[in-house]
Amino acid sequence: MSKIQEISKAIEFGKKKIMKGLVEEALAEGCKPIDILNQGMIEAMSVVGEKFKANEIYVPEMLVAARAMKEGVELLKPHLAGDKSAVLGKFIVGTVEGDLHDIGKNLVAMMIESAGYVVIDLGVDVSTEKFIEAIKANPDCNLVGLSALLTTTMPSIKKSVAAIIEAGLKNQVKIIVGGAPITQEFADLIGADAFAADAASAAAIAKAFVA
Amino acid sequence: MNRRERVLCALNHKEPDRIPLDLGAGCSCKFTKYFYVKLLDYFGIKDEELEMCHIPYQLVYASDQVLDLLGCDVRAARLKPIKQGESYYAKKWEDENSYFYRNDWGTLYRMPKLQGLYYDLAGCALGDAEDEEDDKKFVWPTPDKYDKAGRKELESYREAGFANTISEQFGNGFLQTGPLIWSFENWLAMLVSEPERCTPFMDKLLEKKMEFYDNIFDVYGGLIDVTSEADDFGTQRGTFVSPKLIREMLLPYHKKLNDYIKSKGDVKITLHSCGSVTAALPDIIEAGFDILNPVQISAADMGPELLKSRFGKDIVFWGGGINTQSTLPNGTPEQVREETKRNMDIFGKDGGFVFSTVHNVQDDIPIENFIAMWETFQANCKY
Repeated sequence: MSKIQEISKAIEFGKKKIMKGLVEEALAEGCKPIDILNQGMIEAMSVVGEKFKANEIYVPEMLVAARAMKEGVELLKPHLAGDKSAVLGKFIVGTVEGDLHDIGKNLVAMMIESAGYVVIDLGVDVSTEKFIEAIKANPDCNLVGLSALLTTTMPSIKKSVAAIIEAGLKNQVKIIVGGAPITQEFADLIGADAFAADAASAAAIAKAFVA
Repeated sequence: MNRRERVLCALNHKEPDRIPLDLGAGCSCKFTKYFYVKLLDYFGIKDEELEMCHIPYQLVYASDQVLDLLGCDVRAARLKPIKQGESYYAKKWEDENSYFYRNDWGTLYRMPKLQGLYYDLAGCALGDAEDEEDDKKFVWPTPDKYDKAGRKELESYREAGFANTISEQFGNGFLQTGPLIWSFENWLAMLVSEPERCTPFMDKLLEKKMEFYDNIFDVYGGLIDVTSEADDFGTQRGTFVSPKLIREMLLPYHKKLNDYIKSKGDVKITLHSCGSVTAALPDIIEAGFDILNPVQISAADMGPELLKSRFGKDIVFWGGGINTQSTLPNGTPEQVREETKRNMDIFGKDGGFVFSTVHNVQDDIPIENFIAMWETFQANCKY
């Protein structure tokens, strides 16, 4: 097994603790940092995402894989400085106003980051104004995600999407929505560009938007 | 038959005179504060003072007057806890934007002042714990004892012919208490990567839960018909953790607890689990649960026909009456009526069904939809 393949397996099985050693060994062997990132890490998370979508693995396995990925990317960052070829765009994401649930939103952020976006996570209970402010402050942001778990906070998604459209920002960003009570029908009704039922689908949609 | 006999008949998988009803009383069959005010208004009840039952979810105890108007066959005990010593963690405060409270488990909850409907998880006692040494710093709460004066309420409900339920439990479940101590992401990661940190915690939790039930049965023994343990195993798409982990790591604890509870009294035990739990249902039944609540029919593989045909003889469905993620909040009254009747027809066959909404009735339910559901129930509940 090549070093890159070992890194890939370590991510797939969430082996965060051995990541440092593996990345150092891979670099010492002469593997290009961008190859380690793309083939060893992004590809591995893509496999993880597909397994999650197919219910072959579950939230804990996704989380430990994402933590291992995060560790690996942090170790690679100094070696990747200046190499922007991996960056697909910037993704601003948050759980909407009145809602403090974030497991799903965090998984989406991890998967879209793994897919090659820079992610700004606004956290939970994010007001419409805060979304608008963040989009305007980041002219390179091309994707916005809004999440809600509760039926009672779905109106906040509707309100934020309407405000983004009214502020003329739909030229800049695509909007993706998700969360337990959210449906494709709801996404269409409120003028979002996409609905994702899970984090892997969200990442696939994010990649497709820039393909 | 009286109401209690009706409920017990259904819980024993036989058809009583009509489908039993739980609106406002049992576990996750209650009303949020703001919805309850609408219901009081509908019934023209003006002077009722609201009695809070659950702070994070902002649930109320519905009054006997309202429960009687609805025809609810079930009553929930207002347990009278006697705290055992000062809480190490408990505290309440507020700032400009939010209300905060930290409970006996060191779990911090926050409710936004603007548009706030609920308290939600905002922090944990061991959120930064790195290892077993850090884990040992957790200060366990002590199960409350109970005031014998509380027996009178359950005695009067028993005499009046109601089925008595308790929804209280010590902490949350064997899957879901850990997140309240370590945070969701830390606990879930620990379950698969550091299970040796989880097991001592769950061992102790079992011990303390048994103590909780000792205290409950000491005071209320002989008067309880249904108990409930909440442990959300499901998400919208499937189980939260793998069915294998549920079977091998979590349900053994539930089995021991269920066996213990049944040794204390002749009760039926509810598993409250949100989400899609179909993949784990055979193991849940094997672990000694008699009842599933709230029966989230809008989650994956949780359709009424599938559930009733595969599991209807082996577990009671307490809930599942109407989809509260779409139909009840957003449908027309006609759609509500159709779905209510359909679900009653499917779940009600051969008993094994207590009608309720899927989970508590929240603020976003239009009163006309709730009444459409309730009227449809009344018109179609007789066997």
